[in-house]
Amino acid sequence: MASPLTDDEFTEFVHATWPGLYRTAYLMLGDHQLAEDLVQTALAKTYASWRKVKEPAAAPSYARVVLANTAASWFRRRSWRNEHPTEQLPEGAVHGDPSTRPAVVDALRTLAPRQRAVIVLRYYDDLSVREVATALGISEGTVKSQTSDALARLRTQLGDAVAPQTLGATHD
Amino acid sequence: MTERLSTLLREEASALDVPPPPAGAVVARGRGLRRRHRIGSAAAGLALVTIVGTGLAIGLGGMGDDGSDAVDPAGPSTGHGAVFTLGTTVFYDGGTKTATIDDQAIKSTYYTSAGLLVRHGDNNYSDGSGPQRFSLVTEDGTVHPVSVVTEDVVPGIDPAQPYLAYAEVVDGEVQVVVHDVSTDQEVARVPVPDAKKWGGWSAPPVALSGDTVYVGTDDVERTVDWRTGEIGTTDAIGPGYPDVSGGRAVQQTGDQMTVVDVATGEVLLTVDAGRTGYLQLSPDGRFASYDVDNKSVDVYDVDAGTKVTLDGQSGDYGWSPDGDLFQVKGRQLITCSTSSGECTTSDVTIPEKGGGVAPDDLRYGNHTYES
Repeated sequence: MASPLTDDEFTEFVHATWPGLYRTAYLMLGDHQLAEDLVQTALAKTYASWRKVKEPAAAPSYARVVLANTAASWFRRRSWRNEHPTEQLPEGAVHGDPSTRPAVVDALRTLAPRQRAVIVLRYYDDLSVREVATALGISEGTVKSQTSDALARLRTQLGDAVAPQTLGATHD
Repeated sequence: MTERLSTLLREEASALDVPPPPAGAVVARGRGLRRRHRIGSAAAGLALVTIVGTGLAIGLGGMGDDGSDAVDPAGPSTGHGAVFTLGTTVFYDGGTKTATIDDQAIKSTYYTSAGLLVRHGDNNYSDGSGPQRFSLVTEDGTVHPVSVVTEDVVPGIDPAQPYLAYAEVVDGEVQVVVHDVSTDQEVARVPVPDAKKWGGWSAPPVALSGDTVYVGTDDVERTVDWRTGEIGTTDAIGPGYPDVSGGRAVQQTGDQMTVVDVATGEVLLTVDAGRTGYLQLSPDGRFASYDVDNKSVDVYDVDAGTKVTLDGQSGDYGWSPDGDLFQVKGRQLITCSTSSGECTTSDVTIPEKGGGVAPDDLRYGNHTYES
């Protein structure tokens, strides 16, 4: 277990980890305010359960798992599913260079929340299938199938060059 | 193959305008969460409930939205893949690892965040028939005896937690006991004075979900918050045997079966099941199986509402800790993905006998064997 932290030390930890966690949260949720709420919640939980952090070097990873787990619990709420439906872009909605940033964000919005989280954790945070499964509290098989489905959907928006045909089982 | 996607995601992330961290607010909120833990403990003390320690080692997926429970980055330690027993031999991690229980027979096993909890005794019967002893098998295969011995009771386990809950009658009064199997210490004992009648066991059967122990009495289902000692009732599940998995339960209304959130009563899934159909929840409540006929079984993702169809009947399968289904056929282990419906046969060859007085008795992990 890591030594107890003073509030000043935890403040330093917040400053160090906030940008990275915020970026992950924004990519997962696609909304600045929600991303801020998610990171705040995850860091507050990390503060409250600091005794579970086995060593200081593991703390950022711990906070990231807490963030993903918190997001997963949000997705499970019926109110979330009702209030944040998947936005289906019309066919051919992406014009010009499909690799431009707005296209990526728009394409992510076409994914179901959990699919989006899986894609971000795997291809932005570079977590393995098992790590994603653990972070989101789902089975490895679900991670693989969700990855496969999400890539298929992204492919229609972004083209094969960005989301090539690949099996979800790869990238362990 | 997906480097381009990774690159685009990183470009998008690096171009974000990141707001300054509200460190003060985070610390204040964290303090509030931590204080709630302490207040919870103090309230329990005031209620004259015996709470021994408040240690938590909860697994992923069991964290409350308010952060009152914390996660362990190591994740659930029950492992992945099929878990089953043959005689006194425990097979886990998809049958690739084994451990032996030093007793006459295994009665049943339960997934916990601390490892696989095994109930064993002089025979393999679940009801009556002598003492029920417990051992914890951790991921490295070590068998840790647990000091609890029960007789003719139905325990409650939440796969996301390291606790064994059960009821016993002391001087004519029902008491709910919560035991931390990771530390082998009793952490709570709560009297339930109004619990007077229940089924044929020596004490009421219980289920555990989060901080709530559901006590199966005949008149109404009672709830016990074992941290605060608060006792209540719920009509989200009927009286009698409490069947709660991951905070969810199955209800039947006419020809419809529903999966409900026991705490809120919210209906999460509805299946037209006819008069005889039945939904069976996975240990964590994320999936529900339904026998379409005697040849196929539908497996629903409760949250997504999607389903896959597998051959056979639900009774042919066991649930793995990570929510897939498996079955032992002959000497082979077949695992079926609940997300894709794809089934694979492993290379593991299961022996014919596994030791003890019932050496060929095959039991699936977390399966209920009570009558």
